[in-house]
Amino acid sequence: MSRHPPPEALGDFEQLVLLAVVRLGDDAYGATIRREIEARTGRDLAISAVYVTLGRLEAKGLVRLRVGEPSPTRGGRRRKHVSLLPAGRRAIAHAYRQFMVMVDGLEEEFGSR
Amino acid sequence: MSDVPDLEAGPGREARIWLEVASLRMPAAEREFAVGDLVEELADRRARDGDAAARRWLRVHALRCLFARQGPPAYPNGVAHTPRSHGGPMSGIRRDLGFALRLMRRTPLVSAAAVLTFALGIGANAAIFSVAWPVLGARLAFPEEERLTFILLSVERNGQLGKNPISPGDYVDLLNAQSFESLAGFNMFASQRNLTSQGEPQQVRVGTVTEDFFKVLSVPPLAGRAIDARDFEPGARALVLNERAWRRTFSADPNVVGTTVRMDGDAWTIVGVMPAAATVGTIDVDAWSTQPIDRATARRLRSYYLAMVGRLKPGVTLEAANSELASLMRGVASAYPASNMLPSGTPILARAESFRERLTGPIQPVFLLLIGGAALVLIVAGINLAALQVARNLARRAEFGVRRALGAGRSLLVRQLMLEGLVLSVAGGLAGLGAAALTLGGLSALAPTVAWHRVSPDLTVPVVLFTLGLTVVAGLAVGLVPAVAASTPGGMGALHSRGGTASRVTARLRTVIVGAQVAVTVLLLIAATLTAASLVQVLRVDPGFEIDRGIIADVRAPGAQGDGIRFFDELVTRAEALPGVTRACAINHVPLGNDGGGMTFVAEGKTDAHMQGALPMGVTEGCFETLRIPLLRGRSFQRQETESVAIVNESMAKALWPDGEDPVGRRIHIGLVAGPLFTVIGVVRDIRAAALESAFTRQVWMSASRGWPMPERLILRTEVPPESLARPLRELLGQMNPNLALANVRTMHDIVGEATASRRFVLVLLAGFAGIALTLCAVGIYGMLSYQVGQRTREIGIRVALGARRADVTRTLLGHLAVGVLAGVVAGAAGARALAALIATQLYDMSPTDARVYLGVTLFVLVVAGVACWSPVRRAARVNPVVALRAE
Repeated sequence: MSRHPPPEALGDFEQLVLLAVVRLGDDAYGATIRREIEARTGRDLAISAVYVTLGRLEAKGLVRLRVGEPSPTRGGRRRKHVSLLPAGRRAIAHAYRQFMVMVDGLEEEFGSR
Repeated sequence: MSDVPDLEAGPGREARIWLEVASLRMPAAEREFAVGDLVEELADRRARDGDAAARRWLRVHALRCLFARQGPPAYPNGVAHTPRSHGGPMSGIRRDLGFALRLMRRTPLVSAAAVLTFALGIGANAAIFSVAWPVLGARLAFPEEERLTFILLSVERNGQLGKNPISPGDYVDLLNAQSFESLAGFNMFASQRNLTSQGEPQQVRVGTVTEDFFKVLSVPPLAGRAIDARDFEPGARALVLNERAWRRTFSADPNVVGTTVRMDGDAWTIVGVMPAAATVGTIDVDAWSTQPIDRATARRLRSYYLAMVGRLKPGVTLEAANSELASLMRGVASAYPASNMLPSGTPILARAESFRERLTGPIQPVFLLLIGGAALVLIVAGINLAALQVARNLARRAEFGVRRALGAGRSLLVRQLMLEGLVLSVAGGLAGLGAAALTLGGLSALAPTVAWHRVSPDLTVPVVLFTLGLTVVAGLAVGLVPAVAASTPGGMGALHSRGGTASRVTARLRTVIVGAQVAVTVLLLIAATLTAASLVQVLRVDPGFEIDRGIIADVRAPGAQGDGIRFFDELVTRAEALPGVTRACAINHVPLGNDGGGMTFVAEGKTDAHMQGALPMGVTEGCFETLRIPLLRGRSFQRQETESVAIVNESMAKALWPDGEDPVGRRIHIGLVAGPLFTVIGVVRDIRAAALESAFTRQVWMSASRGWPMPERLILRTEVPPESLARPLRELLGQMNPNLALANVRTMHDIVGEATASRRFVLVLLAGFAGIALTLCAVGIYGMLSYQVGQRTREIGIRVALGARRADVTRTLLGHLAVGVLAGVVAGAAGARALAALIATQLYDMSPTDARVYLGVTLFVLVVAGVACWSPVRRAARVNPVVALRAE
């Protein structure tokens, strides 16, 4: 545990994006991330906001961005694939644990969805 | 915008636009991927929800992308997320532009003032340019216009070259000139004719030209053909329409060529239509017909009414042509000394000038003055703005300091500030262009007819380009000064200097700024005041006849001469019976509106060497009473004169009989000694025949009852508002002869207005410029001082706390400013003095260095400057040291 510095704190939106990346696995890129979040949370996000966040996550060393091949369904544009780096996994896991610790015993209060 | 390529498989046009919108605020590096995502998702949604829903989603999403908060940048110093290395230099400029726009929004009042200032400066220039361009800059419609020349006789008198019409005899001799490829003549005096075949009778101005006239001009006809040799056959009545008349009177009928129209009772065949531009440089007419000149008998006619146009042979210069014309005319003068040599022995020469020179020569000083005035307004505006920007930047010193500390280079700061200037100037330039467009109507109404050419201001492409160019230059210039000032090390780019005492450099800069503004304002005010005083002088001139309640209208009598006189007699009698008319008469020339056309007279018993030029005035009975011209000696005309009689004016009496003999009862020859004799029956006072500011011209009045000169106008004196008579007069003419048209119904005041239109135009523009300059200058001084007081409140507080008196505070504040204002006044007066020669071209009976004007303007500007200083100085004097120091 102590080999790594304590994971960086994540913003709300960064958590959503990281969780979407975890869920999507190899299929994570801008459009799928946006749709995943929208489908699950109902939040219709601007695609540009997703990229801003991805940029920030990349800068923090939590994800790796990789440019793919041009695709005809995208009008010849390329995708930017996202893969989770170990630090990213640790950060989201850390956030998850903190969240769970904090909600423990409050299930009654907020209901289970 | 190549990030959204147009692919066949891609989205439709609307979608592409929305994708563009969505990508507007995306970092360039991410655009491809994000837009690709949108395209992909759009296709999915179209498959799932249908086209309409997918499109709706895209619209909403695009707007969301546009307005989405982008969140804090990835790195705290703000360079990483919009990396210059990714977006290229343009993305930096885009960012600066965004910043400049935000700055404008953040300080709306200051920005509005700046935009307004720019708008005034640029608008003034756009307006002037729109007036000047059609006259000075636009190309003429003639092919190889530089070879086109205009030829008149030229007589040197008192060192000045006069320009006089050509006689048929001289015309025939001038045709021999070898420097020209082609030469032609035209009658300088167009005639008014009654056109009756196109609905209501109307008057048309018909000019007459010789065979080769249109060949010289080389303008192709719009339809049909030009006047040519065929039309000079006996019995031919050919008419070439001017495009304007063709559009107005013939509704641009494409089949007009070959048709017959009725004019003054005769049938005329329309053979062609010429473009309106063909009148430029010669005379303005509605149609052209033939001007026959019989070469065999031309020398016998001693009337001067022609002008010539010539196309130079390729390679022949104007100078060469003129020296040929001079030697040719010297030969003519020795062959016909009686007609072509002045009594002093000076031969009458001919001179060619280029069309361009003829077009621009007489009006160049006017436009130089006006363009100069507009440029000065822009300079004042620019100085004001530069000062405003410098002041505003002083308040932003902390911001610049932070930027520099974070590594922004000097060039980056300069770029940003220049861009800010540019944004303001572009907004101002557009507003100025709009303002100029709004003033165009007024300008057109005011614009005088310059020479033969109606000035018609217009926002043409060159005008718009000029304005935009000026806008960019002005914006960069205005941005540069503060930019350099702000980016100089120790200038304003320091973190530590927040307010405090003003540096010596900026104080000196302020003195210069104020001085320059005041100088320009004083210069413009002096020019405007002199012009205004001149106009007053001109309007105060006694034209020699009464202007109030006079009305004048053009009427061309029908048929033969005898009919014409009977017609005018009847018209005058019936017009006098109209209610409100006290007196009426018919006359040939418009008083004040005459543009030449004199002839010679010789006193009986003298030789041709003593011939005197005068304007022949043909009138019916009662004209002196109608115009209220005092009869000084002898008697007035009767309704029917049985003898050949004439009345001379004072100037002509002096010229004919310089020894002061009584002219009444003496006789004069018309033309030369060989001409018929007329008995002088009276002497009247001089009237100004050409213009108010012209010298009194000599006039010989003759009774129209003798058949010549034939009147062409009706003059009424009324006791009701003259405008109310236009209708009854028209009805009266219709009753008398339904084929006659009444044209140009004007009051005498209208005629004075026309005679002074050019002066008014110059005055209104100069006064406008001076007013703008004065306002900008006053606002500038006020703003600068207010700002200074605000900045130096602490300093003033300390001074007062240390025992400075109010007067000391005021003196410190006003010291530099007063130096600037005084230096500006002196410089402005000196500038006006230096430009006296140019200003003098617009003055009448007024010295361009009139001390009263200089003194008055100086005092006025000092008072205005004082008023502008009043409130800030009072505020400074009331600074409470305790409050001032605590505030810091």
